[in-house]
Amino acid sequence: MIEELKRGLGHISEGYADIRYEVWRTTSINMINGKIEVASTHVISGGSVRYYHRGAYGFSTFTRLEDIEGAVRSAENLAKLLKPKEEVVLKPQSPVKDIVEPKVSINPNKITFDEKVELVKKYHDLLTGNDKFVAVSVTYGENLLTRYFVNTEGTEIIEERPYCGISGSITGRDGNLLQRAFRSFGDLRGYETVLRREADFEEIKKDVLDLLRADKVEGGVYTVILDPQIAGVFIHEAFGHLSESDLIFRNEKLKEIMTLGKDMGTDLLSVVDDGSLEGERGFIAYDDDGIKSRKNYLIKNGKLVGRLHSRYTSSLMGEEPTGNSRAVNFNYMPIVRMTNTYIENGTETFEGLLEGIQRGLYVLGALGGQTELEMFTFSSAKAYKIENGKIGSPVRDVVLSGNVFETLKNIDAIGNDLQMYGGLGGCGKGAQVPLPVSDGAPHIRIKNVIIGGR
Amino acid sequence: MERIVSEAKKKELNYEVFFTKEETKSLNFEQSELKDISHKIIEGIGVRLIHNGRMGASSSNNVSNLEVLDFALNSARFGKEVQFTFPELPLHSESFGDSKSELEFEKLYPVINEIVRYLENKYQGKVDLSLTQMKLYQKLTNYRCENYIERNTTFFDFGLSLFSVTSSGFLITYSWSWKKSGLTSDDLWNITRKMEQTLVNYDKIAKITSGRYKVIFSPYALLSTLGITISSGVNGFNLARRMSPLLSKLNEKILNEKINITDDPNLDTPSKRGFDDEGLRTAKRSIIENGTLKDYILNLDSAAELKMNPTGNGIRYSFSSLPLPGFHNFAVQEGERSLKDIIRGMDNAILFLIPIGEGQSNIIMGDYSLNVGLGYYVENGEIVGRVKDTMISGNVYTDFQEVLEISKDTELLMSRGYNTFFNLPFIIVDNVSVTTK
Repeated sequence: MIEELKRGLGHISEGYADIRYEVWRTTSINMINGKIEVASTHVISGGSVRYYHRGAYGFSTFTRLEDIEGAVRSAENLAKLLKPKEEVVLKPQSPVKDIVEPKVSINPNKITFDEKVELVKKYHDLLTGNDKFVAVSVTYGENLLTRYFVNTEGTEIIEERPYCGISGSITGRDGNLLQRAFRSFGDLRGYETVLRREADFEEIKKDVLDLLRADKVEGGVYTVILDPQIAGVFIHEAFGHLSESDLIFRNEKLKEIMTLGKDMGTDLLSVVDDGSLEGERGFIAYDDDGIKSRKNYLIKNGKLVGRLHSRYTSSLMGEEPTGNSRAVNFNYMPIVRMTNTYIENGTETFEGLLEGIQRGLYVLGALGGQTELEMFTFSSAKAYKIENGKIGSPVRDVVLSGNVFETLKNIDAIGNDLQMYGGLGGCGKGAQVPLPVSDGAPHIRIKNVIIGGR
Repeated sequence: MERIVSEAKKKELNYEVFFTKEETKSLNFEQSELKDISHKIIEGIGVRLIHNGRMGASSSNNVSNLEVLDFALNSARFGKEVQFTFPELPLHSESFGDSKSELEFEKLYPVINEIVRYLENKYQGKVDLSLTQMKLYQKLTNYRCENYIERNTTFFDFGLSLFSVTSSGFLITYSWSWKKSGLTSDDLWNITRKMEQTLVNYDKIAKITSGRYKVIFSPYALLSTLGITISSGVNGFNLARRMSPLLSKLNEKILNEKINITDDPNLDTPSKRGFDDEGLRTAKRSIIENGTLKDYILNLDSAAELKMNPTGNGIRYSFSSLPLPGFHNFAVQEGERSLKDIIRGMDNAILFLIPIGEGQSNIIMGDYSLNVGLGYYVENGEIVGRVKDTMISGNVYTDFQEVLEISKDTELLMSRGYNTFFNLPFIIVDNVSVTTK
């Protein structure tokens, strides 16, 4: 395959070009209320060519290998069609030759389709048995990706990423009230990730019953303790996206706000994006520019120390590429994205975080989040009141919001129990969703968070 | 495709084969500079089989890959028992848009640069924009006949967003529009002017306190509240699985009587369809009439499960996804007065233009809790400044009982790719919960 791709680039004598070719074998099994809704395997393969000329890319896709040369010519023609105002020279990179094989003890492709269906049935049956549960759903998802990358600098990479995961959800009804609880697990550790999840699935039953008896949260400004999962979503949404340098690289005012060395929060706070964490959902050995992934500090001891780059943005800003140029698949141009993003451990115990909170919320699990740079929102799967330092009754529909710069400064305590979360979903930016990422944190405490409510 | 159909016939399978070819040309600016010009072709087939009474499915982007039949047969071993058959298809061909029209990059590039520099100078910000031409071909056939349904769709769209650091904080606003034939410089300037209409007194902050306010939901804010709650509530997938609060609510009043919602497959958008993606004829249907729930959105599968008639709303969101129930064009009936006139007569209100955080609440139950990405405070008929650090929350089924007025102005928004369009006005709702610092 690599040789065919190299032949495609053969005629290019000047400028930079690369080809990504990907083979996806996807298996989906979904059971709802005792019926298999989906049990299917799909095979998708194809590639794309980028040709870089003076500051802009030409981009062209192909499905059949015999169409590579045509796609290369098309990308070249498109790149040369218009002249960008600003000429940017991509900083040259040393060529890399590597084959990255997955490090898993059980590759999902060694397990039969029938066994996977049985696993889904087993977890599904575990979730049934309560009259209040009107819809029970379990989904197994598997993406076995083999990707090939070559460029005109001589880089040749083959990388396999065998992803699998499982999720369960229950929609519960009490009178007119419907509530949904779910959990999702998925990463690149192999089939082990979906095994022995009985205790986690039992928690879904407890969660939905808690939500059905929970009161709607009262809107207001609260001190909150975030559990590691939602703290991970918070740091991804609120700060991670702002670290993606394609949002800031030409904006002088924003560059000033994001000057390296600036105080961003308490000196207890350190934030990392690390694509090289093997087995995590956002693990990539190389990004879609062919740059090796690495650990990148974004905030260290409260100070802004780094940001995420593609080759293009790093060339423009005079910084080093960080291995964060990623596309959801070969049909898309890579853009600057996160990988595995987390807050490093602090020293506080959970009891220490609770201490002194008169009126607050303990917020757990994440339904999702969205950011528009300065402002962010994210929502919790469940939450409990905190009254006089003690965890009280459950509340529901907790959506947290705020201004990122103020909120980072309002983090006043960080726990010591960092955990990472992957799952079946992913991150969205522009039209590119879902991109596999993981995020995590220890428990953290934040003051003055706006919670929408009735 | 022909190879797979012929093999499926040879094996005497009860098959349905859906083929799509999507060709996209686009020009993209990032941070006010040309970023890329792209040409993408995506094609693929989706196969469904009813085998021994069970449904099997598979897909591939290699359109002559016979393996998909084996995958689909394997999947049918576990698949759901099917209570419907694929319909007999007419021989039908339909087209939308001007397929001969092309995106003229070289001609439009100077205009785009002019617009970008204009916005940069006026608002001291950076501009992202994209110009796209989409050509789509879809073809459906099944074992019942030799006929097929085919659809050619061409359209052009232009979207731009402005990001600026202002004295009222970060400012992000955007605008989008589409056309059936090639874009002209006038089109591009019109969309730019439309975006500028969202920028009134944007550099001032209006201080408000938490409480209950009249809120003017823009088309974007409506999409994130009324739009997603009603479209998921009447969706057969959710109804058949008892996950919707609208099950057994037909002919009950669920919203204010001023609200009328239709699904209109004849509305002149790229989602215009004579037949759905399962081969059933589509029709304009009244979903909510004077606030009363009149109909659901069903595909073959959900209709069979609910023991109702399918409504011609089976949509394949890509060749690899199964047909799901979905609106063609979700249209809220407009009112009589323009937004301008309505605002002029208001003592105070919040004009909620751009929400952040859609879909993070229990949307099917109607709950919403949205940050105001861009919104203004209206006082004595004037927009006086931006509302910031503010959440607007509530419940669609409760709050949209208190509708004060619906505007004459509407905006067409695209959702889920080109598969569903929403034609939405501004709706003014009384007593909405607003939380701020």
